[in-house]
Amino acid sequence: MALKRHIIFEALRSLVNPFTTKYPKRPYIPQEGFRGAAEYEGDKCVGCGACSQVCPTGAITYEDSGGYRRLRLDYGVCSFCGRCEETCPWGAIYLTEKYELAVYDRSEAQTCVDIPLFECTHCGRPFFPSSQMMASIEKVDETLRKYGIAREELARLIQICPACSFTVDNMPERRMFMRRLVR
Amino acid sequence: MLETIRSLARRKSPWIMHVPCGGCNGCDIEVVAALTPKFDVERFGVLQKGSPRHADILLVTGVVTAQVVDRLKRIYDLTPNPKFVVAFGSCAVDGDIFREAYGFAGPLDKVLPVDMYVPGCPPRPEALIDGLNKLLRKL
Ligand code: SF4
Ligand code: SF4
Ligand code: SF4
Repeated sequence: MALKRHIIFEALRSLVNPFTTKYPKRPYIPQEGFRGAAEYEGDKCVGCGACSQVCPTGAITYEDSGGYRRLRLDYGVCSFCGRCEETCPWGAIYLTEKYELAVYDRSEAQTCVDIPLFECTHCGRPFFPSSQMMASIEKVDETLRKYGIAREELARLIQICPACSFTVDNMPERRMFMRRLVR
Repeated sequence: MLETIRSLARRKSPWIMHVPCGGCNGCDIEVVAALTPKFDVERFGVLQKGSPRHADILLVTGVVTAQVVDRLKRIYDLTPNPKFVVAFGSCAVDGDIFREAYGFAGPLDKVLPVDMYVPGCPPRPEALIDGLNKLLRKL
């Protein structure tokens, strides 16, 4: 009897307030902590590629071309785990609450960010994200002060691409610099 | 005239066949959830069918494994025209976490022509409704 009353009560209640979602008409608001599509914050990202290193599915790839490093996140490969957000030292990638990702074309299910590359002061070849260079110098600022090294001095040394930096005429300067650090 | 009736009927009653391949089952559970009264895809005339001969839409979930390729092709051939294929979940779209596994036989679009990609791991039932809506709009 109690069950019957319960069923009738439920039936009447759902007449007034239906149980079914109104989804396409009314948007669905995800729960807090919902892991949706990841997005880049272009001006924070320094292009270090740490996110692509930790991504368990290999959804994030990057390639350097035309003076830019292009990081590409493929939603079709992503497992929405949030490792990239956890790892990024600059808080430049985060999971949004976007879940309506259906597309007609595979190539649309992705997000990209372009980071300008620094040009080698010797050969002019772009080789390193410039914002990462600035950020790294910023990070070692205190240590530099400890050793009495000017920022510009370090900047000059790391603005040379690996191919140029080991040439005969560049080696002595680098070696002198290293010697000051291990003193 | 007959054509309009036909296309209207098609849009109002897209019957689906759920084809689970080699995924983790997460997506299958979301598809079943979409059929429950809470999400109720029957609102759009969607019926789940057990045979490809009754279906308009093949809803493929999970990673396409070497075992399942031939069966998938056979199921596709058994489906009457016009037929549509939805890749549901990152696994079906491009292998997700299994893409370097030994049994992985390529993303779904290498085996069948895919009309709709729904990335997500697993996608929400709302994402399925969204995907079906977008697909029906294209018909
Ligand atoms: S998003 Fe973060 S981890 Fe990824 S390249 Fe940009 S700064 Fe590095
Ligand atoms: S959420 Fe996980 S799988 Fe997706 S891009 Fe980030 S780390 Fe890779
Ligand atoms: S996409 Fe994710 S939830 Fe769906 S079958 Fe693959 S691993 Fe499982």
